[in-house]
Amino acid sequence: MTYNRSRLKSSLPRPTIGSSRRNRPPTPHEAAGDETASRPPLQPQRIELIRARAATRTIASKRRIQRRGTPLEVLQQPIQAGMRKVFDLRRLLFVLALTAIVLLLPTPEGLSPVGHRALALFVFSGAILALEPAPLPIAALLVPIMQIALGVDDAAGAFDPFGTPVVFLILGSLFLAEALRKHGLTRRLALYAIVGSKGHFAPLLLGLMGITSGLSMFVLNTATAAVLIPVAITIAQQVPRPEDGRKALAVLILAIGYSSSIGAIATIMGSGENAIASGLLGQFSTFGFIDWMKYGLPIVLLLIPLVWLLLPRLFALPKLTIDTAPAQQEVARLGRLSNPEREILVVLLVSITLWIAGTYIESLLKLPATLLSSAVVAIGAVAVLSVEEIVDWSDLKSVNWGVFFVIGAGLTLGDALGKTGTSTWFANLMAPTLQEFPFVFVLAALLLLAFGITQFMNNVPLGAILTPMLITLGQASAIDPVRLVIPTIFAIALAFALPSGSARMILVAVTGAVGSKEMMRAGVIVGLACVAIIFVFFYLLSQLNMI
Amino acid sequence: MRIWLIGAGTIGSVALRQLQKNPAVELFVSDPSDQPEAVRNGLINQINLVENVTPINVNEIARRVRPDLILLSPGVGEQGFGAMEGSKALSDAINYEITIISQYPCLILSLSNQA
Repeated sequence: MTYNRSRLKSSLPRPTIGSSRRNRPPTPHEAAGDETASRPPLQPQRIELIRARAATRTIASKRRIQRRGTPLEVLQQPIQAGMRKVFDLRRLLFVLALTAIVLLLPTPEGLSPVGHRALALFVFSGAILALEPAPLPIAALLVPIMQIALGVDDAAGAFDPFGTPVVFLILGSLFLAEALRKHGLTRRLALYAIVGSKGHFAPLLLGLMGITSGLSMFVLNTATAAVLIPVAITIAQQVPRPEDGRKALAVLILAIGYSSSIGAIATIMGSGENAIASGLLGQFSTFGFIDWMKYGLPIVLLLIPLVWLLLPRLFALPKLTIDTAPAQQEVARLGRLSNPEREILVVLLVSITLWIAGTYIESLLKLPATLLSSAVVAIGAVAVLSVEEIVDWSDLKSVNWGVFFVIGAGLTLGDALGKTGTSTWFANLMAPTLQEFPFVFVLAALLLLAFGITQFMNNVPLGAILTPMLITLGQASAIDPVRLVIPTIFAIALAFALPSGSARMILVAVTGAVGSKEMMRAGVIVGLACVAIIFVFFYLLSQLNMI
Repeated sequence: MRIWLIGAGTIGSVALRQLQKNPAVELFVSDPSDQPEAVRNGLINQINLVENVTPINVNEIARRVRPDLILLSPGVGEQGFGAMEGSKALSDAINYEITIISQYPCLILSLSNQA
């Protein structure tokens, strides 16, 4: 306890509840004006002043309390991004009108009547996921319902993709994220990074980005960002000069937001759009955890240092040294790793090992096929965390369950387009046009298009809409769909410029630590630099026939 | 005993009802909104401090309020974030950071107190 209790009690303001500002009499300070207020009062005046203060202590205390001296201001003006209307009838009618227009058009040549209805389903899905007349998970659930209503598929077929293995992989990701959050392991790792940096801002920033991106590869990235943002706020308080503190806070919070999105690129489970893309690519050929990671991990390893170099320069941040004593005290207070923390780390490390080497171990030990597939490993992790009572179902009340429905909607849409022959029709339609363009042009156009749209639209539904289209385009232009889908999905993750792009950027925006212009400027510059790296990487891979 | 209640939403209102049973308890209530649930339901006439309490300003305000105890409502609404993805995790993390940073005794109210 650091405060003096006796001094504290003697100077307690009176109870303040129920007092009215309107009824208070003017204080002698106010009556006399500012000049006398600044001078020490004489004895009779002093007695009068004490009497007046006693009568109006509530308001005076309140004024004193409301005086603000903190240089850093965060979380004072939360944006209303998450408080939009629950249901927007006009938007829903617009979506239905678009669908009706497509249905009323004559069936295109070469497309079956059921394919025509699947085309209307595609328009419906794209419009409803983009415009969100209802909360995103509900909008996503309307996709299979419309699929059934249009006669594209029956209920069993429409809901079948909701039970694909990749959905269960995401369940494991949610459990791990909650376990890390609940037991404070993410925060502990961040504290180690702060102490390890010895107060130098650059290594501290890199450490935080490394932790954020590393965890975001295997657990849901929004949860990681949410836990680390308050740590960044605490760090920024240790910056000596207020103006530098404000810049440092902006850089730290943006770095956490960016690196959580970038880290998620590395694996199938990092983000919903990855799960959709890998699920749909898996329908055409074997496409597993390692297949994704061999493209994703190098990109993460390239982009994190790039962002680390760029961000402080964009904010003209001088070389800073931060007092790490509070973090050291906190690490000392936390002590050694607790049993649940150790168990979480073991579960995480074993799961990562099996996700990477599961297929190899399976064939080596002649185990039944898919016993060590990524989804089964994820469910195993969920079981262990539950049995060990590290996470229980009540902990998962606030988890973003809606992501399952969005992933399911994306998969069912792709499935419907494939089954009805709509994909093939579209591929044949586009083939003559696309074959005229070289891959380098198609790649650049796709990356820029995805980067542009993702700033305005949540990345999971965007992935759900674009992936079936890209697979079709790949088939049309005789380009391996992997070449088109993977780089585009990576570019979708780069929603850095606006809060509308992803939940991470909404979290960044609600802190109020980064102005909208700053977010836009930094997001566009850093995002385009990342797009350039992705473009060069995939172009080189295509030249080397490695993709 | 002087108690600073941070957040006067659903959970804060439950805490207020209980604390008001003891007239010896002096209450100071802060909330990001000037019309939170406790005011709308007539539990209190007004909020003493309309401000979102964060790890940055908690000690500065506490030095002026001088509470014997700080009670922190856990709800998302109290932080004013709304129902966006990750808001609960962010709100929880901020509340946890506040309890660590606070130089005064600080407790986070539990949702199980809701009655």
